[in-house]
Amino acid sequence: MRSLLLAALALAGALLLAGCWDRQELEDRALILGMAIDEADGEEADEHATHLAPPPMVKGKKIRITAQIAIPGRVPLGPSDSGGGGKEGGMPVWVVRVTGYSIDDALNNLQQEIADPRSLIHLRVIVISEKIARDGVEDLNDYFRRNSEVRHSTWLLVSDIEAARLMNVAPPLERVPSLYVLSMIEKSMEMGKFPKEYIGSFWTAESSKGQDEFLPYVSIRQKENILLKGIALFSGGRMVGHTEPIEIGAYMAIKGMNPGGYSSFAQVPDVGAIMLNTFRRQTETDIDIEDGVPHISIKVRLDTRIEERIDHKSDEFTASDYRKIKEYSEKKLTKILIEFVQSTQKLKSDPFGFGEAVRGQYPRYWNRHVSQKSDWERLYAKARFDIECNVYIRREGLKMN
Amino acid sequence: MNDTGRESATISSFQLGAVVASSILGIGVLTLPRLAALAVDSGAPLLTFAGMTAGMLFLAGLAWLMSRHPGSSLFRFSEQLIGKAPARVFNGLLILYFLVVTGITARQFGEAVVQVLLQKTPIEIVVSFLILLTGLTCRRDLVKFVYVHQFYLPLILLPGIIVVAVSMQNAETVNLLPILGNHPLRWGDELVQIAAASQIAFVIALLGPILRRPRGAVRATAIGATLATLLYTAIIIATIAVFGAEEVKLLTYPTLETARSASLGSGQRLDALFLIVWVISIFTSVYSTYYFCAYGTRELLGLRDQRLTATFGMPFVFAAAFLPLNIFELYRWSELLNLYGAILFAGYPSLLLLLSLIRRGGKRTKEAEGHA
Amino acid sequence: MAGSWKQKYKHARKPSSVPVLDDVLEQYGTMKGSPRLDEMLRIVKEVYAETDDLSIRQLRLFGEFDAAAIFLDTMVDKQVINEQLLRPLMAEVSPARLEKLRNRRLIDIVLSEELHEVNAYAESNVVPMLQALSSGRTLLCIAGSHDAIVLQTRKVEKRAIEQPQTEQVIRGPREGYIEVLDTNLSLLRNRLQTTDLCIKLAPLGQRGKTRTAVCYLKSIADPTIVDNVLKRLMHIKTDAILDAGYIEQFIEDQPFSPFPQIQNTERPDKTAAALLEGRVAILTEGSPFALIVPTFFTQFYQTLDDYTERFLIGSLIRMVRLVALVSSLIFPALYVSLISFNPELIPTDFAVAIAGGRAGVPFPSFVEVLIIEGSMEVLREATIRLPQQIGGALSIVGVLVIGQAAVSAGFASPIMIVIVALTTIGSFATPAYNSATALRMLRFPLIILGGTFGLFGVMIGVLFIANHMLALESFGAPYLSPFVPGSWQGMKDMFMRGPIWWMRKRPSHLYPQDSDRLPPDSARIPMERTLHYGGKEGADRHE
Repeated sequence: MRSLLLAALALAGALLLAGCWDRQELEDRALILGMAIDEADGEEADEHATHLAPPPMVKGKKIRITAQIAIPGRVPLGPSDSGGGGKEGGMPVWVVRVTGYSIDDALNNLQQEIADPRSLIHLRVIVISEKIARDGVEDLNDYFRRNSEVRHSTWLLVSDIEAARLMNVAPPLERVPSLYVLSMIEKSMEMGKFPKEYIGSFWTAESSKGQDEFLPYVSIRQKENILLKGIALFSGGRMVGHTEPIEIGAYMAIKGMNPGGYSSFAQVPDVGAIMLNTFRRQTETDIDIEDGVPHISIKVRLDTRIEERIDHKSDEFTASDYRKIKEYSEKKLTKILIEFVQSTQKLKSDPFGFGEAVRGQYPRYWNRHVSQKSDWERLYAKARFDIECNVYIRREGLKMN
Repeated sequence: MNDTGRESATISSFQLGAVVASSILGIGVLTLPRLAALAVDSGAPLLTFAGMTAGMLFLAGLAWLMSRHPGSSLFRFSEQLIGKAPARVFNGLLILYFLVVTGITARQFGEAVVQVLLQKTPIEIVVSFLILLTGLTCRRDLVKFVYVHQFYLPLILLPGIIVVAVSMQNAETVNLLPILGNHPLRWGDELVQIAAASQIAFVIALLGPILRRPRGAVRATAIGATLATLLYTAIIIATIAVFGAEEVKLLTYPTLETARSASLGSGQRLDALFLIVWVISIFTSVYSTYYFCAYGTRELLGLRDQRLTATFGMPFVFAAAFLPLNIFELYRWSELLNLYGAILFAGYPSLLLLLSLIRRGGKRTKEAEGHA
Repeated sequence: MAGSWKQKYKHARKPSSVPVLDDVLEQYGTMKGSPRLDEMLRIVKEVYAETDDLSIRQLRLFGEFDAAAIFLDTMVDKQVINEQLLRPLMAEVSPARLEKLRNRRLIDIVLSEELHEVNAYAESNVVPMLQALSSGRTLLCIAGSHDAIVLQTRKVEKRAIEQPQTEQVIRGPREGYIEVLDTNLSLLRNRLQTTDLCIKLAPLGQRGKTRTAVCYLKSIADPTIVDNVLKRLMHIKTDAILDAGYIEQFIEDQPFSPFPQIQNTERPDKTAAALLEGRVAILTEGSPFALIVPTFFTQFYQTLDDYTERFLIGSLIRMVRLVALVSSLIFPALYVSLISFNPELIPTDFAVAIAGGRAGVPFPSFVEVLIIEGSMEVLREATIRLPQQIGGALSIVGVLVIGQAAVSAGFASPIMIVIVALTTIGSFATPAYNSATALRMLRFPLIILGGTFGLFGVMIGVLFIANHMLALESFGAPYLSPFVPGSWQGMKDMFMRGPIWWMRKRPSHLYPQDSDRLPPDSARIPMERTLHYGGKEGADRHE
């Protein structure tokens, strides 16, 4: 009891002596929801918020950050009235551009320009332009990794055009633009169209020696639409290439990720063009070391259903047709998988993390041959692959032929 | 107004186990994965398990010692065994050591809070709040001390288990291979560091007088320590499985990052929540070490209760907390403390146990028979 | 330690100027009743000199002996005096009987043969006679006799037995205590018709001499606890016990704690249940509340409905109540810390929207919460004192108007109003008013902590509260029992309400003498499986 009194006394004392250092009302924070990072044109003058003369290392390598800051009051609370979000007039976010030699430098410059303290706690999307990605992203990530405000479930995207343009799209589906980009990516993840590759997993891949990182590769179509174009592949910390959208499916098939979401369209001889939708993927991977190189055999099993058939004669399906479709698409899909793997080998980029599996299963071999990431990338390029793809057609929809 | 002095004045074996488990689970939850990964990369879970088991053995030794001297605390029976003056020196060392450990733990906790939750709040305030909370709670008797541990144990285990369970959705088993680690560097060194996490449970040496069944002490201690070991190992398995050893080496607070990447539903950050709940497990650890100091000083000085020592010890803890000047020194301090502590906590009870065995020839004391 | 300063300042206190009743009576000491009737009347008149409702009815017993009935006019049932006292005693008797009366001790004959009143006895000392007089009894003094006859003639107006206002139940008994101790004890006895039930009566208070009863079950309650209760009660030295609440404050373990350590109830059934668990009940004259000790914290959120309904329903409702209890304590503090310190825990779109809602509010959220919560407390206090008809209307109007106006005036954000409403409703859902108030009050320090250190502060505050509760004891029983120290049996009735036939043991931390509630071997009535023809029975039939 007396201790409680004492505690109360101490508490009161502490509160009187102390201010509320960290109190920062939600509406007084400049909530950065999205951020785009581009190469600077080189014309902007230095702001000198963090330096008088830039460190020689970064000289001439300026970046431009375009940040989306939420404006409190523009987004109405509760379900919007009939008028919709546009009624208030203008975007609910404020798009600010700054340049700097590093992320923190640019953000410090940003802080010089806006009143409220910047806050990255709700940073959900970071878009970087392809050029930046090809120059390497490790230094960019350093700031995000050190800062405790950045969440692991932020999405890092690579765009083939100027990244800032993604900050300016204002699609009608979502009230807040960068939340639209976010929900687009997250929903495609739920539909099985993209693997769960948050910035956290990107960092993990970055630091692991047996896996290369990869990122979603996006673009803009018709001014306002965001397109998921493929996977941006990295090797040695730099982006080295990208895939086609269907190859995202190939990637997920090789990793055995579910739910399946991609459809393959192929013309089966004597049957017609068939659209097969994959709804479940199952993969077995087996790794051996043969002749000093990893030998990776992959067995992919795809459960599919027929979604569409384009054919000028509408005969009934027969049992042999099923077999034809199955065999033909197996051949076709195997080819896609093999080509995809080969293209990554050519780029010396192992987004699958086979290296990790080798490290786990053959530690001796690993210790002998790999001491840093590039060692594995070299080995990966030499690795032999056996890929087998089994397609099972499980159902055909409500129409019987 | 303590009117009844019956069963409520003694504690059961279950409660003893709870004290052990909740004392051990503490600051290590946050930093152990990195320590272990730095030493043996993917062998971290095994190393942790081994280290904690080693710690458990010494704890069991202490519990055995206690069961051989029922009804008296370490401060009593050490004087009987090695004489008054040497025992006082050793006990004084223990108290001093625990005082510094209390401070360093509070500081480490403060650093974590200041880095993740309250960036602008002075760390002194955060640390002094924890010390105040601990110091004021240390004024109660031993039974209340046990109650505190028993009450908080579920609240310590639960968030740990939740983090482990939730993070399993991002786990990659391949990260855990090879079980022994690719480049096992320093098994011996880190083993000691990890075993040192158990030394906080040394506080059970105070509980001798209130044990209901001194014979069960070894078993209860072992069960409590096993619980802590399992949770630690599970947390480290989860952390390594989610991030891979290489990434864990880069993270200041790997467990926190595990909580952070484990998102429930809408992808919100859970790390703040985890850190908040983790306050409890820090509190119970600091509470144990500081209670040992307060109670020990009281025994040494022959005071009636420890209100005085608990209150006046607080500034010293605070001072100890700010001995290291920055976070790098802090880590070195804690490593050194763990090392010397390990020597103290392995050596002293072993010495006592040896003497006890020699003097009484493996038989229990008369008191023991009286109690049994 | 606590007593030392009292000692020091004792001389500064004025001695009380008006002597208490006992001091007046002191002069009569062990004086016996006077053989002379007028001497007795003189004493009575002297003691009650300034009292006008004293009645002295002089009469002639059996037409022969001088006597007087003395009573306090305002407190007695005159009909009883007429019928039971005057009528038989003033009747004419036969000369033979009169002869007999002359030869024997008159008072014995009157007591054993003439008075038709149960509650009557002979008293020889003056002081108890006077005390009996002031408690509403009638003295019958007979000339020439040392003793007086004391008759119970008290008649106190009392209200009918009604459903308790503070502890209403949906299903369960509807009767509650009233202000008359005897009635309350009869209600309790009616529920426990056993020789086990002990009721110890004693007057408490220096002046008031309030009759107070301590009830317990002899074969269950721990004698140490009973002794402890009696000892603490005997220590009470105050004027009078005007309500059971006075006793509570005198005997509780930690008067400075915000948490109540003694349960009070208006319900005889609840009292009976507590006695059966091994607790002790204290009832006092003039109070419709019984105190129950020792008390665990769990008792404050348990209600009778939990037990009268089937266990699934009871458990669910209890969990709802627990959620409400916790939310009434920490919701506003959580709001403050989420808004001002840890907005990363709010989903992004919602966070942006909340920021919009708060954009016009001039205060930091922590001031906003304090203002709104404060005015809510005022509103609540105001409605309690109002007549019921107005109160209901005012509270609705108050909430609606103040809430709506505060939002549109830009005084508070809409989310804030939701939080306050949830908190208030939550605190109403806690059945015990005193513990609900404790939590309501503790909410404010938590808000301040939350406004200073965010979630970290709230956590530290909650730890302070929890540590305090862990240190509390109620009559030697740990307050947080059965959670700490653990008792598996007790936990069946903690967060959930286990089926009644599961709860075989009484709460162990009350140290009951007989710990088995159910005999160890019996459970429910075994289920009849008449429809099953398999098994042993069927086999038997085949033979």
